[in-house]
Amino acid sequence: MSDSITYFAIIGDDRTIDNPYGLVRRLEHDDGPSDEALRKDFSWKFTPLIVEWERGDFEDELVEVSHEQASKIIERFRQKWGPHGQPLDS
Amino acid sequence: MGFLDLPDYPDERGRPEQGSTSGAERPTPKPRELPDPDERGRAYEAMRAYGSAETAPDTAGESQHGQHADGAGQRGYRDEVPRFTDRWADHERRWPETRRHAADRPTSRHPDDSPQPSQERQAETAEAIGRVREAEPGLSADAQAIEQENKDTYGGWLEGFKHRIKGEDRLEEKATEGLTTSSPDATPKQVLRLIPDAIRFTYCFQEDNYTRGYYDIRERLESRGHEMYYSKNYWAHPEYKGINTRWVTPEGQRFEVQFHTPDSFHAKHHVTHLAYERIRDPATSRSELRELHAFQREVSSWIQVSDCAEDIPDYKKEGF
Repeated sequence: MSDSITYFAIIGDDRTIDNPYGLVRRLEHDDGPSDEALRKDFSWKFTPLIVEWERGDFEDELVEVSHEQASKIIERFRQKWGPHGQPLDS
Repeated sequence: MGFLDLPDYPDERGRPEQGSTSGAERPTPKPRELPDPDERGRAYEAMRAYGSAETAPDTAGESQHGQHADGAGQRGYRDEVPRFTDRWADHERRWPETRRHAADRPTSRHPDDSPQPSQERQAETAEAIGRVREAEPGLSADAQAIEQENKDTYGGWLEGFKHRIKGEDRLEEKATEGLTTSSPDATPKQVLRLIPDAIRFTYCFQEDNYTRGYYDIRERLESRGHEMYYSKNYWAHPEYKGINTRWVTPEGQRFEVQFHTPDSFHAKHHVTHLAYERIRDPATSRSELRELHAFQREVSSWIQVSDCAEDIPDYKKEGF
């Protein structure tokens, strides 16, 4: 279990934290962080995106959001993709 | 446990703990994320060559590299390159690639649970890649013309020009990765737009011309109708030095322009590149990660900050 979790919404163009492209999170552990992204089937999987963004290798912006806001984003995706999500090739 | 911990999802994984080498449960890195032996060899050669050139006169005007002083006087980045090489070799001995990946080296284009993309998505992706390919020749011509114009005044030059455009496989891979993981609520066109370096140019300047060179290239790109919508200054960043900018052509194609000095480019391209790839690799343990970040910080601390480079402001245009 991680000590803390920080969520980031992926925004850009006309996308905002209420309508992001996606959601990623950084989990802090005793021996360092690990980063994950929410996928279309609602699973979390490793992502290099936060590291890439920190180094300017990702086009759009990551904006830190609260846990409450992250819950809302996931809820919005549930409404859009269905309660169990969608196959990853959809 | 809160809702966001999503305990019932089967694929929740972090990085492996220290000593965890079981590949069976790890997400498998993409083929391009695995540094190949040739790449490592080239990196070592480049590292060595740069370091051994420390006493040779630099035709482009070698200036005061580095930031560290010791009892014997100033030591610079170039002086330290052999030590970086040794340190990286030591790292690879302690964290060998074979141990990291032997169990889960991918055998296909879609090695993990990322699915084969649907036909519709493949077509969209191909169309988006086609647009990148169409835009590249004109952009490259502009970049080369600007290099010539800048050369006489500020001595700037293009580095890595032959790598200015990503391969089609890599773009497809990026699109698939983006659609399944990073940006699931985006279309292929949007995801490919999210890859800032589908087309990338890198200009280098000696330290004493860096800031003026930056503004000159910027002005020349703008005079050709391209618009800069983002500029991020990394000269104060502990692990990476340089300025990354993003542009859009009058036709709407986005591209990236990076600004480096010889040392910051060498550090990025030849010294820390493999460390960065490992940082991006899901198979890297958190223990190794700590060392990789420390290595990047050490290398970057020896790069001399250019004239007033830290004062070049960040920029972001609204709506991009």
